[in-house]
Order: sequence, then structure tokens, then C-alpha cells
Amino acid sequence: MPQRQRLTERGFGARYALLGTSVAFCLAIVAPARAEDDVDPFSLSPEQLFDATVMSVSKKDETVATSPAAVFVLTNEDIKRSGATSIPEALRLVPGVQVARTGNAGWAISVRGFNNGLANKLLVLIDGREVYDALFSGVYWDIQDTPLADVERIEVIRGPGASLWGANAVNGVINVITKSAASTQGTLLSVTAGNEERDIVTGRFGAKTDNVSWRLYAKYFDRDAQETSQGTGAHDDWHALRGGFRADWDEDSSGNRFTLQGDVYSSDTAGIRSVPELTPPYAVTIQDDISARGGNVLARWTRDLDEGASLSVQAYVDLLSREQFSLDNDRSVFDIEAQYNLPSLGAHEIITGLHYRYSREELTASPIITFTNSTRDDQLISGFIQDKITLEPKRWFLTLGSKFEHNDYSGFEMQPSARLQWQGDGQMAWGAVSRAVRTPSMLEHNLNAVTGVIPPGVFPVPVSVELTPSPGFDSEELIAYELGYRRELTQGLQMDLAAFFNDYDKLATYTLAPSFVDSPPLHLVLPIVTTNDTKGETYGFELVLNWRAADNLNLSAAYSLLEIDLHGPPSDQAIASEAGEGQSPEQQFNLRALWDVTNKLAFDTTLYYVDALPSLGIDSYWRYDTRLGWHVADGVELELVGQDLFDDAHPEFGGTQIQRSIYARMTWRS
Amino acid sequence: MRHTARILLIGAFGAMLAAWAHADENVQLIEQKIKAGLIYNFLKYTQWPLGSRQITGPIVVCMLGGDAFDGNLQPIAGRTVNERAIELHEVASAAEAAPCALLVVNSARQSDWPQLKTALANQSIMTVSDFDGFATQGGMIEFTHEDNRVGVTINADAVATAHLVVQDRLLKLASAVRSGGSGP
Repeated sequence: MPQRQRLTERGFGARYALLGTSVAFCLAIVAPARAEDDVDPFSLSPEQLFDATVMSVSKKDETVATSPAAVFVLTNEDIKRSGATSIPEALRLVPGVQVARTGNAGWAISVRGFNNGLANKLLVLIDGREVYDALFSGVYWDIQDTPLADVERIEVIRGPGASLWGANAVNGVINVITKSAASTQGTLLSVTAGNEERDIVTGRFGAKTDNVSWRLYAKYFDRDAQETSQGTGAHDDWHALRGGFRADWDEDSSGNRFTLQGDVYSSDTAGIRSVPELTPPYAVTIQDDISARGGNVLARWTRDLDEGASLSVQAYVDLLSREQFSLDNDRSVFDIEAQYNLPSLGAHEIITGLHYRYSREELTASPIITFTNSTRDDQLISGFIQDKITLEPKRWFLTLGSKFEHNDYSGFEMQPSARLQWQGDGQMAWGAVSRAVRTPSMLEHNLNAVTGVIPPGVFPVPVSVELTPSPGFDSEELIAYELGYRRELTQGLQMDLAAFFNDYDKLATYTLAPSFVDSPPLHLVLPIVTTNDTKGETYGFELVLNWRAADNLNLSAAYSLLEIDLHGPPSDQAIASEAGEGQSPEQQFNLRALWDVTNKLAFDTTLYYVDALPSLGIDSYWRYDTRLGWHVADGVELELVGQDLFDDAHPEFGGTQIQRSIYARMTWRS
Repeated sequence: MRHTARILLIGAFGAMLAAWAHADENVQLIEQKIKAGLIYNFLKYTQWPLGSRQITGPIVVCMLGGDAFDGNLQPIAGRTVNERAIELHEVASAAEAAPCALLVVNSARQSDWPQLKTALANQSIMTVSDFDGFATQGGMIEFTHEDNRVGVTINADAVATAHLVVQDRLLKLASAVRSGGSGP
């Protein structure tokens, strides 16, 4: 009981600290921002110029300020100052993205709803490589990693990106872009130690040989286990080793650029799993060891042609071998795409592309999962065309595009979109209508999975509940309507608002099929087939405020509202067809302050709020992260980071409780 | 009640913090303007050798490979430095650069730099660029990024070889390198 009391108090403390911060934030907004844009640089002294801070007209702002889509960019600095030690953790800052850590090495991540551990309406790319797995159309987050110091930025697009991007860009696209080899020259060594982040060691070396800039990296981490809902160890210790390279050739006199990069990795973790059985006690708890080994090589060639045209071709091979109790899979992917930007044709900017993807999955059955065929080869071929039409120079633009795809599950798919954009002085507005589809995967078409066994009682024999292969399952469909408005309210204070209404049809539904008797041992099978019988709407908005309050102080706030309304068959026909309504938080927000106390000392804090997930019995939670960064000497930095300081541990999605993490990180650069 | 007091206290603290942060008097400018300003100061605090082409008439600033400043260097034309008018030219080759006192090499021409450097040798032209490694590859002034400030790396050997003298006031603010190979 005393424990509970303390927790409540902590909750209140968090709430009022937040209010205080909001008040400070509002007061701060009222204070006039300094306008320095009209300063004459030629009248400044060298000392003033060397001391001047760069007003951001970085790629980030250009992309964000002019894209007719809901885009949010995490820069290298954002990621570092957030204290995040992995790509999925860094995404917590992004509005409209649901990030829930399901276990030590697992995350449920989605954009604008439909979140779960197998979330499938999202496309994730790392340097142009699609990292979703055709087995379930989702992402294995435990193997998506790279030294975060080498990440240039992460662009997150909410809403369908289908007309330009690959498969699965239904609700959003996450695009991780690493730095060029030329910007990662020299040596970097980083060592992290903490209670949860037991150790992370990253080494990177970059140099230039003739006309090739290159880098090599290696990274090892060992993460301490989380805890179960009972407070006992979750046995999900996690360690991984990876290495990789990137080489960029200088642009030659004919405008050719070439990049070659690759990674290899090995990741080992575990978890506690309850395995259903047809004999007493009908379920046993086992430790599930999960290991993944893989690698990829990617080559990209770009050539600038006359009159602003350009051609790029990218190809990669991606291999993965994954072993866990439920299923072992070996996946090989070969992917090639070409993009051609046509020469400028007056008011038209036309981009076309072709994409081919071959994937092969080899599966090994387990006591709970079997399949109709253990090997599956799939081919996907797609093309897109997009025309950005200038209706009125520097004012009105219309972008029309469509992607045409043929896949081996649902055949031919067309995903068009139209975007209208208005550009004003320091402001812009846009609206879009798009169609996107989530194509079926092996999970729906080929897999048979025992999801549970009901012990004898209601029925005289045990009942095995099984998800059965559903070759009739078709693509899920979305028509999305979006509106957005961005404005520089005063010097240094930017606002970005995006609203959406998503109309879904043919959503996956677990429909009950007629039961039958099987043996041995004598039992009843309750089959579930995946059908397309649920419709639904989601709507909401995301608001981002970013204020450069002073040269040394940046304040930002992001708020996301998400309403989900599903219409599925009742519970006597389908299982929890509307559960998705309660698996993504209705409201989320974060408040962030990045403060350069001196030019050697930085103090950063972020406060997060995530609403409850009623379908999963997860309470709302606050999370307070803070970071102190100190430039000890030239090229030496020491950081102290505390994550989730208010709370010992709390669950974010499943039964696993995510614990408070405190670590120190030392980084050397030369 | 206690909570209200706490909110007000935290709010007031926040406001103070904001006010304090405002008291800082750094200038904030877009990157190209800072670089343009620094180029003006290089003209101002550099001595070109007596008897060179660069010592008489207007002082010529050149851009090779296109405008790397998005127009922010344009206003330098027509200004004066040390009582000499400044002209801004765009040049296409090292041969056209002969009258230039200062030559900005667009980073898009990075791959041409070794040939350019050879062609510019033995002339008193201050070379400036912002591509990575420019100063270590024999360039004189390299603009760099230092957190969110613009930094300058000066290759003192290259400056001396061209018989240019950069005043201490600038040298003290910049970091120095020597001509070296291709690596860092």
C-alpha cells in the first residue's frame, strides 16, 4: 500500500511539473523573438562572425517547409540530445507515431494507429533499403540498428506515401538516412555504461583514398533484461554485434556519383513464452531464445543529365536468418529500382520509376506454427509516375502521381494520389487525397498457428484455437484525406499542423469458422480465418511548435490526437474485430528543451505523455528523460542520461515492464 | 493551493530563464551570410604581395562552379575594402581566374580541385571552399561546421606559398592545418 501511495504522488508531481513547463513555455512564447535576418554581414567584425550562430536553413527545414505532406525530421543532433540509444527509441519524439516497447528487444511502432507487435501499415527504409519483412509485412525492430552518430537524419512521413514509396507505405514512411562517408572522416569511439544499457561500444573510422571517401564501423551492445508484470526478471537480456562500411566516390566530371555500403549483424535475446499444448497442463512456460543473423550490401549510382534531368539506379541484397521458438525463417531479398527525373518541361517536373523485388522465405515448422508450403518465392514489380505542376510560380503547385504494382498475393494494385500546395510568405498550406493498400503476407495466406488451447471444462475435450491459412485474404484499403498548414509565427517560432481523415475498408478480421474434431489426442479445433470484413475510420491531428528562443535555447512541443472508429463483425462471428480502437493512444505529447548552458555544457530535457491503451489494460504514463552533455576537451564529450526518471518500471504494450535507465556515455573524436 | 504556488514558481522560473537566455547578445544569421561576411573580412585583413596583379585597381572576388552563396555574396560587389572597390565575377576556369584576389570554389567542383590547384599555383589568389578536406588538400581557407557556428580552417603553408599575409586577428580565430596528403 505505501508503494501505491508513492506512485500516486509521483504521478501528481509529474503532472504539475508538466503544467509548470507549459506555463514557462507559454510565457516564453510571449517574449519577443529577436529579428536578426536584416543584419548586414559585411558590417560585422571577424569576432562577431565567428561567434554568430547559424540560423537553420538546413536540408531539414527545406524539406519540411516545402513538402506538401506531414513530414517530421529528427536530425543527428535531435537523436543525440534525446538520449535515445536505438532507432525505435528515437522515434518517440515524432508526432503521430506510436512507439511502445513490448520487451527488451521488441517494439510496436505504427503511424496514426493500428499499432501492435506485427504492425504492418508502415514502410521503414534505411538508406533506401526497405526493411519490412514479407513474412508478416512488419518490421523486426531488434535488427534495425546502426551507429546513431552516423545517422544524418530520420524523416518520418505520416500518411500514405504510396505513390512514391514501396509497398506498405499505408499509414506512413520512416526513412533513416546515414551520413555520407565524406562527413564521417576520422576516428570516433564511444563507450556507454549504465544500469540497463550495460555496455554499448561503437567504433568508427573514416578516411579518403584517392577519390573514394569511406568508413568502417563496429558496434556491440549488451542490454540488461526488463521485468515481468510480477516484478520478476523477464529473462530478455539482449546483446548484439554489428559492423559495416560505406564508400562514396566523388562526383566525376560527367556528374556520376556512386555509393556502396553494407552491414552484417548478429543479435541474441530471449523471452518467456507460454506454449499451448493439447495435454495437461495445456500450457507450459518456456524460455524462448531468439537469434538473428543477417547482412546486406547496397549499391547506388546517380548521374546528372542535361537540363536538370537525373537518373539513379539502386540495387541491394538483404539476407536474414532468424530462429525463435515459434518459427525459424531464412529470408533472401534482391531488390533493384531505377528512378528517372525528366528534364524540366516548363511547368512540369516529372519523376518516373521502376522497382523489382524478389524475396524467398524458407520456413521451419514449430510445435505451434505450420504452413502450407515451407518455401515461398515472391516477385513484386512496380512503377510510378509523378508530375509536380506549377499552377502559379512560387504560389500554387499540384502534384499528381500513382504507383502501379503487381504482387503475387493480391495481383495488380493501383495507388494514386493528388496533392495541392499553396506557398505564401513564411507559410504554406497543403491538402491531399490518396489511396493506399496493405498487401497480404505469408502470415495470412500460408501460416497455421495455434494461438491457444482451452482446457476441458465447457467442452469435454480440449479446444485448440488456430489461425488457419486464408488464401482468400485480400489487400486492406485506405482512402486518406489530409490537410496541413505551416507557418513561421514570429522569427524563430515555427508551427506545423496536419489533420487527417482516413477511411479504411477490407481490414483484416479474425473470423470464426466451423469447428471440427481432430485427434490424437481427441480435441476440437476452432479455426480462425483472416477475412476482410472490417471497415473503419481514423481521424485526428498533430501539432508541432518549435521555438528557437535564443541562440542557446530551443523549445519544442508536439501534440497528437488520434480517434479510431472500427466497424467489425460481432464477437459471435469474429474475434475482437474492434480491438484496434484501444491499442493506440488517443493522445500523446512531448515537451522538449535543448539548452546550451555554456558552449561546453548542454542540458536537455524531454517530457512525454502517452495515453492509456484500454484493449491491453495499459495505463497512461509520463516519461521524463534528461541529458547532461559536457565537452570535456577538444573531441571528448561526456554525457549523463536518465530515461524515465519518474518511474521504476511500467508496461507500454504487453506484460513486460520497461525499467528506468541511467547511463553515461563517453565519446572521443579525432 | 500548494500546487498552484508551485506552478507559479516554476512558471516564473521559466520566464526568468527565457529572459536570461535573451540577454545573450550573439548574432544569428543564415550560414551563407556568415560566410559572406567572413570573406569580406579576409579581403580586409589580408595583404597581397607588392607587384602582384591583385594589388592595383578594384579588388576582384570570383566564384568558380556557380554561386555557392545563394546570392548572399552579391551585395559585396560595389562595397569598398581598404579604399578599394570590390567586384564580383563568376569564372569558369583557372585561366579566367588570373585577376581574382579571392576565388571561391563551389564544393560541386571538389573533384576538379587537384587540377585547379596546379593551375593556380604561383599566383597570389586566396582560395576558399567549404568541402571537407579542402584545406588539407592545399586549399587556403576552408569553411567548416562547428556545432551551429561557422568555423574556418586555414592552411598556413598554402597561404605563405602564395605570398599572402593574413593578419593575426583572423589567424587567432581560425584553426590551422598544414598541406598534407589526402587523409585527415
